[in-house]
Amino acid sequence: MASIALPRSEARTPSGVMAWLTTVDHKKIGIMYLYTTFFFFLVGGIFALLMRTQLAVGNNNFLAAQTYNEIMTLHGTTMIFLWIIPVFSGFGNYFVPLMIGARDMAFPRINAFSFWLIPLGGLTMYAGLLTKTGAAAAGWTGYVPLTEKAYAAGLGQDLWILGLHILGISSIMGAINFLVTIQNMRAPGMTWFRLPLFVWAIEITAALTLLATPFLAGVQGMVLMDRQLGTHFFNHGADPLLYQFIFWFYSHPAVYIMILPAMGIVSEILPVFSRKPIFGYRAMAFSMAAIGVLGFMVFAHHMFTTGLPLALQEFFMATTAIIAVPSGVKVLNWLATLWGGSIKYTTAMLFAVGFILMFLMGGVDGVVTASLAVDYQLHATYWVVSHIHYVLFGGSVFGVFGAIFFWFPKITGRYLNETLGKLQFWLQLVGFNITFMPMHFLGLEGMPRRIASWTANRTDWAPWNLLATIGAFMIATAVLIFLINFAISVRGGRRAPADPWEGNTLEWATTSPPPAYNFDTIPPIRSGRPVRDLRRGVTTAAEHA
Amino acid sequence: MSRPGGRYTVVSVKPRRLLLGMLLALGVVAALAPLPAAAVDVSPLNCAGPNACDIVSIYTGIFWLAMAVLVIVGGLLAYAALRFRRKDDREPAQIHGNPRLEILWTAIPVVILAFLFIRTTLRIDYVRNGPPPQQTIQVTGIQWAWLFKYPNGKTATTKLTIPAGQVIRLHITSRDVLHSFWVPRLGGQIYAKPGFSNDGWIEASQPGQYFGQCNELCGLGHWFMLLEVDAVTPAAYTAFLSGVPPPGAGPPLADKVTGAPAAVSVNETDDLKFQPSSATLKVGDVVQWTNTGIAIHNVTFDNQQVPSSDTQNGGDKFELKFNKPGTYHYVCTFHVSVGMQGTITVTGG
Repeated sequence: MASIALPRSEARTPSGVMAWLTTVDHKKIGIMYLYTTFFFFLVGGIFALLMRTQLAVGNNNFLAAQTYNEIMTLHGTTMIFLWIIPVFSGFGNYFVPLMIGARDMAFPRINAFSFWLIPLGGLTMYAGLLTKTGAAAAGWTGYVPLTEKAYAAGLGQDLWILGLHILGISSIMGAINFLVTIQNMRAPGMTWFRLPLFVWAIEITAALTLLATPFLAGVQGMVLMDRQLGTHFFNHGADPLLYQFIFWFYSHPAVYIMILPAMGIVSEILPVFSRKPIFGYRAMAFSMAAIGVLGFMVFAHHMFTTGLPLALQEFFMATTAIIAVPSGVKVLNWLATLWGGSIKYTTAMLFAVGFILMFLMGGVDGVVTASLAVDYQLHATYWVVSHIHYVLFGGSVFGVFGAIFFWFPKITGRYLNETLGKLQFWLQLVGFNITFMPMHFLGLEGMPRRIASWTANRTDWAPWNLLATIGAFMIATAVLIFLINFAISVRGGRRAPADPWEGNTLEWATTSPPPAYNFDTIPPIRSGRPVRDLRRGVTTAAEHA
Repeated sequence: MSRPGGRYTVVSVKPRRLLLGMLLALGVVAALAPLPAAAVDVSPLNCAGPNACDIVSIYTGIFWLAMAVLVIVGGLLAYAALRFRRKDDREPAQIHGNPRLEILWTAIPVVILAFLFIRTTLRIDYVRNGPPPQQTIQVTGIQWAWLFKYPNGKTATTKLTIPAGQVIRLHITSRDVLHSFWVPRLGGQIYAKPGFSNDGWIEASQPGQYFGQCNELCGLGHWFMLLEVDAVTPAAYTAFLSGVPPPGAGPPLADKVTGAPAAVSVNETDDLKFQPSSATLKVGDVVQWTNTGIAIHNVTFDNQQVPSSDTQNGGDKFELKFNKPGTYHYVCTFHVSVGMQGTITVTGG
């Protein structure tokens, strides 16, 4: 609780661009994460628009098949590894130390290193586009033997693997940093069950990242050795399913790496704008932990059509059904948080409520495919494309925008424009559903994903594909509105005070933006809502309600 | 914060209308979804055999249960989101949770999911393994076409002929990368793995054409790795296997020959091209196709009265002597999606 005098360096402190390039401050690193990952979001979005333009009508020649396959691969890889996963590292970097009452992350230099690997990894991957044979074109899953030298001779696939390795190193180091920070640097009084749920989410996400990412790195390393050193992990009669087992042992937990932090964000936004504590705090924390553990036990549900023995399929159908339970518990607790509240619809709150609705949709349509028989038909169709986007766009990305509107005043000291924000939200919500709802119908009409073009004689696919393309451009317009909003607000937005929303958690106890050392004095922590306690003048643990 | 009749009311109506409008639109779209009739129908819901129809009945039960969850929980969420908007500056009751509710809404999903598990498990052996087969056919996926081999050794590409009303067991494998065999109206997807065989089964209740395509990304021509199942009467199937031409077919427009001096030589290259891709010759001349690379190819004419080649490995040759003037277009069915095609123009003698 006592304020710690920071050692003042007499050495020359860099300024301007050099200050950013050399910084080890968690807030500056967090901001750089956010800028960089948002840039990749825009790039991945452009890839998506190209794909939707190609698929708007049947037998289209807008993109050649090879180009489409490359863009489709880069869209998936960008959105997952360069946007959703690291953007949460950005928010985590900025807000975990503030929320637990710490001055910085545990390892500031490693933190900076983790960040700088992100653009490096991304550019390594994109460098494939400059080679004569093009970028990787085997999908973000990179299944063997399609990624073996015999079928993907070009350098693009190697660059893709190296890019993933670089990003993997960044993830693993970031995860260790978060775990050590949350374990050791909590302010006095910040017990585990007073931790904000966002911090819980980052803790569990970091544990998943630390345990799972080495499997991705390992399996891609094996492919790379097959390609460059002539090993035979996945060729010469090896069972290609070995790759898939290892790959999904990472990549299924990775889905939770991509959604848990957004769940944490929503669990922060809802209480603030409904003026109620989160309903079932411990149930929320435990359900995230349960998702984290079960997340390692469902991975083969991506492989139901590969010919696994029925007993194994049954096991994974059961675990897949079970993991839906904690997800359902979370939705119902959010519902109960809203119930009886006093809800104020800021843009952040709109995105948070939008998140719950879209996540519900993505949860329900996902559970349908947990049934083995149904999955035999819907696996790898547009139904699954729809499902993953309801969870990762309607869920995670709506959560990210909620977080941006919620925390922008803290980071910049200014509000984003609420009118533009609400316009963006509604356009994005409508555009999102116009894009991805029809994909359910496409799946039910037998349209496979990952096809570079669709044969026009499948006439019943035509209206839904056209609608999805229109929706995609609506989403793009919404994002454009956000960019305008950002450009206006970052310099000219209304000034925000330290605690603009009547917040609950410690980041609202310091100035907006916070000073380099975060807090003059760290406020006393007597409950899960220390800033609310401060506002109400609560001085003992017994008083907080 | 806001007064009745003030700006608050104006703002508050809008989201509700938008939300209701959106739900309504989604409902309409959902109701229309199965309606449009397709020129080529590959909808798994429009099942045409016992395997696919069993899946539809499992799906239907789970679908309505899922819809019920969506409507109830989504409805409660929408209700709470609209009903509990801020009306004054008072802080609402601070409720931190309710253990009984937590247990209740942990138990309810368990029951629902148990239904999904049991409903699927009861039928999964039938869906996956099927009744004892009456025919067994080898299926091989190759970049980018399907190769079928019947019990008597007869082969075909792209089009699989089966007898209607019979259980067909498929031994599915691949010669190169992963593929996935899928004819949605007859059954679910089965992986084609290089070096391994997966078993699946299909049955078409009625004669007819059923379409599908590869559903595992397999490279450049993946999107065009199409597939057709022709279900015919058992008698027609027997005739098909024995190679008797279907009634109504005219005399062949060209004859297979071997060793005759060739007027035109066409190379099948690893660049996935016929070289030259067009050639002109006279009636009675012989054309020789040679696979000069490693990739496999074939020569398949649009006009079924011109004989087509078997699958050609590197070095294999195929020769035809043309009997009638005309223009004959042909493709390599493996690489048609990347434009591997050619034309032979035969002029009068």
